[in-house]
Amino acid sequence: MDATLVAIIAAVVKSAIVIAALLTIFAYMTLIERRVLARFQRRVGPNRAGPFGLLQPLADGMKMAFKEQIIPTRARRLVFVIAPSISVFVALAAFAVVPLGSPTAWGSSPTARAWAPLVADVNVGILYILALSSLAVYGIVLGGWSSGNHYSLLGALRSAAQMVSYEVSIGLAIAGVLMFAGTLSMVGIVQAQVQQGIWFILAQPLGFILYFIAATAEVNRAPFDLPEAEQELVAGYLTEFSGLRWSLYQMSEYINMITAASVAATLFFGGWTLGGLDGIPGIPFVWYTIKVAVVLFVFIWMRATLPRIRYDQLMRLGWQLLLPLAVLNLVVTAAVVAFDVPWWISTIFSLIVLAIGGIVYYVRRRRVEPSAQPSDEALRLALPTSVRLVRIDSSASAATARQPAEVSPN
Amino acid sequence: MPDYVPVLILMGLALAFAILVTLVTFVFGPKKPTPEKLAPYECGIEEIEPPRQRFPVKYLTTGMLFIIFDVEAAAILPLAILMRQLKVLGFVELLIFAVVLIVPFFYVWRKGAFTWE
Repeated sequence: MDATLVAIIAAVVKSAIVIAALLTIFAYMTLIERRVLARFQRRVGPNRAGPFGLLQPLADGMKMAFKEQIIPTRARRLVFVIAPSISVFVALAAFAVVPLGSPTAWGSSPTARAWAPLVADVNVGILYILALSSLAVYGIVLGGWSSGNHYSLLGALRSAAQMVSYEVSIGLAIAGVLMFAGTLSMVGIVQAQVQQGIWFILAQPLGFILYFIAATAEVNRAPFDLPEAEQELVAGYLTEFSGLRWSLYQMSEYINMITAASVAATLFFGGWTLGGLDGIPGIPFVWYTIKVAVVLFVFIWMRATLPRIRYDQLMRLGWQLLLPLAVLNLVVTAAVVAFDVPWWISTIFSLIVLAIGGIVYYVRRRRVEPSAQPSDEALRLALPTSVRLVRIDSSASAATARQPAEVSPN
Repeated sequence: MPDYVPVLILMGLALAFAILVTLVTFVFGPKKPTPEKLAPYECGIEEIEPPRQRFPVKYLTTGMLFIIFDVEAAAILPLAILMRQLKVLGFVELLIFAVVLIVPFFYVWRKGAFTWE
């Protein structure tokens, strides 16, 4: 067999594996997210379908497939039908350049390289991911616009403005890493980290935090999930979608999340490497998976912890804070790289910026809080009777519970 | 074989998957449309006006700003990856670039393009 044929077969097989794997991970991410969120809220979560609820995604999928697919009369039918597919196509395609292991894992002959654990080692890797993640906005905007519904349209517009705003910050935040790496290729970035003996998060803590915030907003996750803010917009751009079309949007959201986590792992956490512990075949994939899983867990954690922010706050954060900080980070990193000073200078700079940010935040909170905190009297008048009673009960029981502890000194 | 062929293959498979699922949506599931079911969702009340009308110009402003700043961000990337080789020249270049980016940025800030109240 000649090398080209092998390469094409390998590409088809690997692409099929990547797509199947992403869909499986998506299905189980929904389960994991529900279970983890439930634990955060002291509930159990779905655990009836199969052991530990492991068959729940399957049951959900079946249910979705057999739901009625409603196309509202006012919808633009063609756009309404293809919009979810645009979303999911873009999300799947963006994963092509993510390296799951060393490209020379199976040797360096052309045939062995064809089976390398990534679909394609493109020399503009990270740019390709950025480009496709900007396209993700099309699926959402077209879907919301074509629904012919107020909520959908508002959700779509918000989402468009939000995603394009944070796109800028992502591009500038990762430029610092690219200066250290000197390449756009995802494989090259990981190899640069091995060569320089550091993970780039050590040199770029500020860059990482900017990237992480912007990426959360980019994939519309809490606390930036304004396009689907339930309390104000029903379900935002998803309002009129039902059954599998709705699933397609969920799918693209979760796959985008996995891609964002993979980019974070590759750019900032050394991708598939961990010290020198990646020589054995198969082990790099484990490191990669662990790193991505940790980042994904943080996404869920943030959803459980942080309340959704207001739209004007969102735009202010994106344009007036993240963007200037990203440019500042860029200039300082450029100085460090261009004048060839040790990498930890940029770390110190990042930590100083983060410390100043923390202090400003703390001071502002101290200043705002006394007035924002209602007095006990105001609170008592504002609450309905039932809640008032519960509050009095709980404070009374807390008082009685405290007393014995105070009496017994030893 | 060029590097991009596997990417195209993955895109092809992803497209096939998307089309397949979209076709499947027409096959399964009951089809019992009623006028109420097909009406736009409006929390159960009658709709007053259709949604396709004028919306705040803010969104357009944001879109225009995005094009300007994102093109600049994309133009920084080639400079960024060559920074180690360009050394001082690259740094000066980047400073000029940053000034070109920051001056209009504060201009549109003062003009109130980022204020959403």
